[in-house]
Amino acid sequence: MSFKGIIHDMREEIGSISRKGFEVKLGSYGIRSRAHRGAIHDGQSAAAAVDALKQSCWANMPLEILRDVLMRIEDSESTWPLRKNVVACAGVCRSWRDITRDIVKTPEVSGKLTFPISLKQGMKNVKIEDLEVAISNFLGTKFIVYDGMPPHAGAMVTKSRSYRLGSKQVSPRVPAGNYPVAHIAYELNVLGSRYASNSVTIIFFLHAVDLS
Amino acid sequence: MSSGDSGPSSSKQLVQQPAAAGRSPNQPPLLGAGGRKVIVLKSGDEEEFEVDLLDAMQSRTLRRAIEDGCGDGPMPLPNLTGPVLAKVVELFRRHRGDPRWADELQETEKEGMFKDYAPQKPTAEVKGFDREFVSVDRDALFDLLRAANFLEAPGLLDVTCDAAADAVMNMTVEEVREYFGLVNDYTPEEEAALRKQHEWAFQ
Repeated sequence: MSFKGIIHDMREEIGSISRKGFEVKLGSYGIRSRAHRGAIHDGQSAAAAVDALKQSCWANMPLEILRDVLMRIEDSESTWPLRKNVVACAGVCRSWRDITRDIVKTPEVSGKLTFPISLKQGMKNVKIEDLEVAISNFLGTKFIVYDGMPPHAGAMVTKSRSYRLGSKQVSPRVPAGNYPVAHIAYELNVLGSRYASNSVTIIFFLHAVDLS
Repeated sequence: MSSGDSGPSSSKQLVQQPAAAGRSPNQPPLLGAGGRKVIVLKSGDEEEFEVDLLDAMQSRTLRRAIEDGCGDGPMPLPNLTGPVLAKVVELFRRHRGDPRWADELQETEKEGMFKDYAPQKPTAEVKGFDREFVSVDRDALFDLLRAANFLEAPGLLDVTCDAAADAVMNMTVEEVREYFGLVNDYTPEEEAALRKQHEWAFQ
């Protein structure tokens, strides 16, 4: 998949994109994995197989194992800042990214925030690059999302960043810069981070808007 | 690259027990303690290991082979080395009755073969063994992961995948690439864009 494709995909909801990207990759890996399992009845390829084992780099690790490991990382920390481990895994290379994006569910489903794309849900037409996230509290359970666009000269309404509320079109007033766009909070479960809370509250601020 | 020169050292780390004595393929099945059947697993480098049949059944791959009638002679496992197989066999023995796989056996068994194998919670001793089991260098851990995938053994997979996940925790992207010997297949422009997008996460 081209990088443009990835960026395009990231502007859509994470659940649907990742499945697309992942299945394409899965085909090529699945063949290797099946061939691998057939080896039990084939004593002749012993020497070659042992040689292959000696070059111990991760690159030829079966996809199932990579997926299992990434799922464990995803599952281990549900709160920030420790959850940056998941984001780091997605930055390693393309195959890691594809799998990580496939594993990470939307906040509504998982109760966890991972990628900035997660913040986009409910905000049509807002470019993700325009958002900044400030990690606000010590436990990493509350976030404030700021509008990250550089301040514009003069007051103009940016059509591309407007969103609809009922029948009225609502646009952020410019200059934006550091207006909080949303508050996000999720509840900590007393049992600890392994037991993710299902409760995520996302409050979108519509202050500083023009009603037109 | 560290992967080229660390193969022998990983083998040394893995060696824990000697191979079983060689047996001819036509001998009748061995009987272990309590009269239970024993099978022989043969590594790619021709080391043989005796395993209690029921312990070997922790591996779905071995179970399928046994059910297909391959359990009477030494069972060749060409893509596992002797040191790796030695560790795996020991883990199977220690995980006897482990609920991670015993539940599955209880469901699939037909002839009451596993009636003594009631699932037990892993004891502190087993947990200690698991920790020790993965206290190996990177290449040895990767060998064990491949073995776990090939053998399809849930307990072995659980222990090794957990260890790999723990190793990644708190590494930077560069450290992860170095540890796993991965090539960065993003172009500089792509990576810069991704970094910009996620820089808030790493402040």
